[in-house]
Amino acid sequence: MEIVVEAKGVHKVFGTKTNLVPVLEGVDVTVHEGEFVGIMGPSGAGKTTLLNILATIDQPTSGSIRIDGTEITGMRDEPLSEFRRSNLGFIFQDYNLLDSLTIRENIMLPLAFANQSYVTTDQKVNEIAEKLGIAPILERYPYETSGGQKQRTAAARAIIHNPKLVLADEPTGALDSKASMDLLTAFQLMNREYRTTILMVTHDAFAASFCDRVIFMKDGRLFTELVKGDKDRKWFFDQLVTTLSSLGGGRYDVI
Amino acid sequence: MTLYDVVLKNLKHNIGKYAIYIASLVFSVLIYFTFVSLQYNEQISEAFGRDDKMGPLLAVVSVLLAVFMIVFVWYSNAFFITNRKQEIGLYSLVGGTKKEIGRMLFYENMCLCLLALGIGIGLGQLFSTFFSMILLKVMGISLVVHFSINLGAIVQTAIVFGVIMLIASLHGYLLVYRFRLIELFQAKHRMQQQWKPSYLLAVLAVGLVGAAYWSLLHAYDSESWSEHFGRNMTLSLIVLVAGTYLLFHTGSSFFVELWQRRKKAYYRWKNLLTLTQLKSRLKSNGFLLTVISVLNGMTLVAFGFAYTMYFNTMQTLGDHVPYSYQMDVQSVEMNNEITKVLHENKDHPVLFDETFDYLMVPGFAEGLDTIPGGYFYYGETFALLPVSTYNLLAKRLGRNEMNPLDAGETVMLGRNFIGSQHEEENVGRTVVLTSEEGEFSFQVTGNRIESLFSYDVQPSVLIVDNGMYERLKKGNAVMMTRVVTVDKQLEAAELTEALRAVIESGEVDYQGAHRGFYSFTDSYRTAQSIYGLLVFVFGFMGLVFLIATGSVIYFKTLTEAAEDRRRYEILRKIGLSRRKVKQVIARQTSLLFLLPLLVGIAHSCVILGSLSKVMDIQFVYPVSICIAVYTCLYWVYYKMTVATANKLVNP
Repeated sequence: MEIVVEAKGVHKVFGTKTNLVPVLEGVDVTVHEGEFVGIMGPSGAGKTTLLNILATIDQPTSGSIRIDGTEITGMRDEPLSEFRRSNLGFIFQDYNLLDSLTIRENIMLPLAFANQSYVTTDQKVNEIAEKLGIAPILERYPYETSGGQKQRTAAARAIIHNPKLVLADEPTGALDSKASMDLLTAFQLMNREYRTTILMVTHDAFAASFCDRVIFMKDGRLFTELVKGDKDRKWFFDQLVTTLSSLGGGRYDVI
Repeated sequence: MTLYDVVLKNLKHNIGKYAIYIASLVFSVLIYFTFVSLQYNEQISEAFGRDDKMGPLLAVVSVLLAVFMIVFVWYSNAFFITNRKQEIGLYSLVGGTKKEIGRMLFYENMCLCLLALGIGIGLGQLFSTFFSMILLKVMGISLVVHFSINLGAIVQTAIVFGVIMLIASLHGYLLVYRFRLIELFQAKHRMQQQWKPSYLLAVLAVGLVGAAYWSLLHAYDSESWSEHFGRNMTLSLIVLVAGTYLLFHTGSSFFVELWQRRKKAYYRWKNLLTLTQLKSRLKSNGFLLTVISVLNGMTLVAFGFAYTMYFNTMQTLGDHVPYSYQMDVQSVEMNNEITKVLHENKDHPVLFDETFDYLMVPGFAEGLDTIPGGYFYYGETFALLPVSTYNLLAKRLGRNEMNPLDAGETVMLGRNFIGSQHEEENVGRTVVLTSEEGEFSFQVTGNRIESLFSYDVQPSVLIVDNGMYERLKKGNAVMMTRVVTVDKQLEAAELTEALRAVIESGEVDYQGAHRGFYSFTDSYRTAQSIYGLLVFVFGFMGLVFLIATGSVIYFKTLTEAAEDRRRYEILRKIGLSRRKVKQVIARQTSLLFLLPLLVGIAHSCVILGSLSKVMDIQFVYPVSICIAVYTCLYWVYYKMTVATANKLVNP
């Protein structure tokens, strides 16, 4: 299987000269094509920083990151934007939809930057919206929809341009359990139907139990890794909870 | 869907959010256009007629306005774009290159600017008519202003603003390049730094402001000020501005800290909420608040000064132009003709009509402390009058008569148009006058602050003993002049015209220092048009500064309110009622408005107080009116800001 993400020895240090805070201390991550990978860990473990670096939003202090074979560290701004446009999709906790555009237009936004034709765009939006269950609200504005619908819109926007990799940062953080369930099912569907590679940061074991593989982080390093394999989600969930409590985040962090 | 669809949809949907930005653009265009159309207005230029003192002044002011507008548009544009960091970040995430995003914002901005240009010019058409009426009114010209569309003004405004807006849009385009993606998503979470107050800097701030105040208030008695007025003024102002900056930047947090130490007051909920934030706010806004204070101060000084000059000149014109008419005596026929005109006129009976002679005598003024300006203007000569003539005129003018003088004694007469005079100026000093008989030395035994002529430039007058006057006559120019005062002189414009016609019909061929015709109504009109124009220009600029500073605080408050949205949400959730949240907002905003206003008023009062002594002009009444008007307008701005901020964070 093709390797989509290959990060080696990623270090990240925040702060000023006098007060340096190491956040990532040599992280190696490999994600293969078509995988649905979760990243978990207690607060301050460096999950979001890692995701931001993989998303090309932030730069690592040192280390190498190859996405789909392209080295992205040290890339200049212009090619980086082009790279993001064709290879990456993003989903955030707070949706990041534009209020001025309808749901349909929000989903189309990445294609607007890629200058694609109307007809193919429209067909594609309809198809994805149908799959993610947001077809009936396509002509509405974001403020007329629920949180779950907004997040599925964000998910649709993230995959509309067939990216190599979709990055999700706490996508269920602001959703109730029903909306979370819908979203995660949508993720699974994206993963299976379109073979989208997904990398998701979460602190919610329920959300993580939808993944094929979960990477645990602690204090800026990789701690361990769990693979679901052919077991069911319930079993995987129990495994995740056990691992999390051994991580020392405390049980309260888990449930 | 293309990028331009996105731009358009954004515009359409966010027009409400853009309203402030558009409004500030419209305002800039409006102000500029109004002013330029005054410049181009044919009716007004005609009203000014030959003496075209207005053109250059208005041209200078319009350049000043343009410079000011650049800053203002630049600032609001930067504000507008920074406020949309998140949106820009999103475009960037979905794959927009900075070039594309920058271009998008550029087009959007140009659209807004064109819209603003249209609205601004449209409104400006209405306003310019209104403002021309005000201008003509304060200049004392009665004329019905017609509504006229002025192509020249439109073209000039469009060109100037086209350039300004292009620059501002380019600036916005470049701003996008400066954003780093990670910042766009983290901007909200940045911590506010806490500052340790510095005693030293707080003391320094108070010290600097105090020193500047002290120096300004003692300018009147100071030797160094009378010699280097310009230099000292500049220095004091620099020290004052530096002190103000430190006061806001460092001093303020120090004083807040002092307040915080008074636990009892501090823990009252309102104070707690206001003060904690205020400390960092005042510091980060130190520069802005200083600029606003200085602008406020400047506006008040400029307008206060202009208004006072207007007010004072109109009130005291009679002291400088003591007669209704003064004319150099020409032929007997003309004199009779004038007498005829004066007596045929029924509305303005003659109160007195005197003809007298005086001498223009060359002399040496080296012995004097202060040499009057008139001495140099009239080729180093003094105007000489005998005591008897003076007493005759003094009686007519209702002034104190003079005791007889000794042969070697003289009394000086002179009144500065602007500037204070000492009662005992030059007393005890000597002047030397020359005639055919040789040089005569006189000791100045008295000094009177009054004018004896209606001339535009007053000669320096010396009163001497009658006998000495006769002796000095030999070899010196003897001037004959006729002074007339009529009843209700201010309304005597018609009579003035009739007299002028008589004078101008005769041949003017008189070798002397002065010739011609000086009337109170002419002087009054000239003074009114000069000072009226000054008042108008300074008033206009003042209005511009007022609105601009008000808008800047408005922008600033709203940006900060938007950042604090979550904070206020928390406050509401932990049980603070909406009413109380509003009170907190009002309190914070009030300080942002009040501090620069108070500092500006204080500065302007001290500067005007100093000028008032140096120039011997009373500022109190006109300046109080200015301050009251200014404060009222500021209050309106404050209310508006609180209401909008409240709507934003306290829905």
